Amino acid sequence: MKRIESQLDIGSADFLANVAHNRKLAFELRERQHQARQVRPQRDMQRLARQNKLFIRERLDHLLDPGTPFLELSTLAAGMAYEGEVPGAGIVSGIGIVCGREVIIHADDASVKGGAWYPLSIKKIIRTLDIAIENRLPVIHLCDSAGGFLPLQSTLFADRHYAGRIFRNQSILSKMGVPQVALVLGHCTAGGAYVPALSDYNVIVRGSGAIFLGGPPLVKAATGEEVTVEELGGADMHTRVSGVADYPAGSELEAIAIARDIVAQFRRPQKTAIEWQEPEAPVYDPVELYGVIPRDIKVQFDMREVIARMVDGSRFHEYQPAYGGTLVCGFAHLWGYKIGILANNGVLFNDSTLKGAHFMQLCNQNRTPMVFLQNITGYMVGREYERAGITKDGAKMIMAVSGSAVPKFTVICNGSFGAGNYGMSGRAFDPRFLFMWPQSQISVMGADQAANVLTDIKLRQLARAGRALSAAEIAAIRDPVLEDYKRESSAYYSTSELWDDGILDPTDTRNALGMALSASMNAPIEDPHYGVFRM
Amino acid sequence: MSGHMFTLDEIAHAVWLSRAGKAYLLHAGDAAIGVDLQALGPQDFQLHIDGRIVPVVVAVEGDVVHVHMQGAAHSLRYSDALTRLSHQGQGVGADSVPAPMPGTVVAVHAAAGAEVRRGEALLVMESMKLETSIGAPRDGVIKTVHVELGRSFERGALLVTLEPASGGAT
Repeated sequence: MKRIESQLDIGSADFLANVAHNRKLAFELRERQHQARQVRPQRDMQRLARQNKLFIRERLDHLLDPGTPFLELSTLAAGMAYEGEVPGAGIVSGIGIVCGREVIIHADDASVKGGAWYPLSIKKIIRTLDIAIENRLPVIHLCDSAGGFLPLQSTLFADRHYAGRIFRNQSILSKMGVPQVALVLGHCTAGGAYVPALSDYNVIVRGSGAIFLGGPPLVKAATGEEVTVEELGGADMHTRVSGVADYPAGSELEAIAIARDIVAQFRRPQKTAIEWQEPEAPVYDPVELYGVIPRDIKVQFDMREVIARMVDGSRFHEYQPAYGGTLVCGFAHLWGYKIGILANNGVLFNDSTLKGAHFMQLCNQNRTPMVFLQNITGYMVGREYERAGITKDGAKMIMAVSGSAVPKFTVICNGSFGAGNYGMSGRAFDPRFLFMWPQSQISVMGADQAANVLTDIKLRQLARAGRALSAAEIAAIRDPVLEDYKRESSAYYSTSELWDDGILDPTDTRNALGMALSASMNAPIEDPHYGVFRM
Repeated sequence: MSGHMFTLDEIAHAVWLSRAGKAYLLHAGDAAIGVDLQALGPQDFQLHIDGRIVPVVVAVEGDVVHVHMQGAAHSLRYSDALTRLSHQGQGVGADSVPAPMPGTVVAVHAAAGAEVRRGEALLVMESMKLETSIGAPRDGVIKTVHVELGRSFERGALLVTLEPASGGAT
């Protein structure tokens, strides 16, 4: 496999200006992550201490194997919702190692609104369990939630992907033979009670843990019965009498130790065998990615420069190097795993689109997981391209990406606009994981174009009414549209809404993909089959 | 048989290993020599070569293998066939630069008479919300720049022409 020869001058003024710009973005990302993970109002931390509870990050430190990596997902979920008052959507999700086993963790963060489930909290839990289902990852639930956030109940309770889906997903996992352990570290009330009940194993902490369909105040209101928390749903009642819980623990630390010992009993999974070789660091330092990504999202860059800083030995076997140049396709190894890469190097034309559909079929045929590196403004428009059937070629690409059986991994490196997002394995096409880089933008079309379209419509309506507008009046219509549009197409908005699994510092991408690949190999790869390709 | 190519003290050697029982045969030129390498430690080996046993110390650094044996140090550089052969017989780049897609010129860096290196930006075009830099197809001298700032063009339109290459090589 040939080594990519970088064409970049890493001492050039342009490169260095990119480095300064992208380092700043990475710093800002880390700062926001730190806030979401660690910084809480003092009164919330004092309440935890009073209740004899550990902060969620301490719980994780005790649960995970020391010195092993933790791939935290959607750290900045809900970052732009609920006035920023629900960091991480009040949930920690991530893939880590417990007693040598890869597991995925769903943990309620009681330091955020008492662990109440907001609509985005529920979306994050369901996504966590979807990842468990797709990759057959055992789940550890750290339960400490006040229950659904009642003022928003109409957007979290009844619909297909609202709270009920959590319990449906738990049942599906059990049916698939994927084990789950729940730790009851606080009150699990109403729907929340089903999380431990639907887990194969659960551990409950005496004193602070409790499980019931209705808590003491609700019982009193409903039947007049007066009952204490311990009597109604405490550790001893449930582990001795009801059988709702399995293991009593005297403290959180004991509960975590019991959970670790439960995980140690799990059968180790037989990983799917894909091509693998000894890993090798990239020859080009991933830190140079800061200099590769242009400061202006409109400026095109060669995605081979990104690949060179991501894959083993910077080696890349490029497929059809002379055909359809705006989509770079080829094979490489990443942390030893053989992967097929599809990377945008410009607008998708008929030829690059066909090449993409063809290459995806090759990867499926030889069981090679696919990595999509997106920087795409869309498929080419114009008479020449419509006559050549750009729409049916785009349809072939979508058919291929939808029918693919090998795991897909998507990284939005810069732009993700229009149908290009679809053909390149956007969220709707079930990539196992989808990550974004901090500068990325994602929307149905570019912000300027959308603002112009919306302004034009308004102007024409007014023109029909016989009114013409001054430049200032036009700006007054256009500017707010543009501002909203820009905000809602930012990576931070995307990750707030869980359109992705998190924003990555570009230099972390290699490691994140390595862990994602490893996790995905817990599930077998089915035979590919597709629908009808419009020829 | 082209074999694996190593450079030792600036001399290129084409060699190949083939199986011979539990060890190997090293093919170099017309010679075939029995060889085997047994690990004693991470970097210490016993080299069995042509019936003799020689202790060697080996360190691999990317494509370079440092070997210390019999009181002398050698550096072998491995050259990948794909890379080596792709630099041979490379065709002369084209004289003309056509537009890869319809678009508009947003910056012109090239001027007639200027010398350019392969890959150097000649102009920047915008199409589909993207700014794409158009580079020189080869080293050469610019003959004509056919477009000016702000000009729109169709796919295939001639953007820049280079002076014909002299002597066929670049």
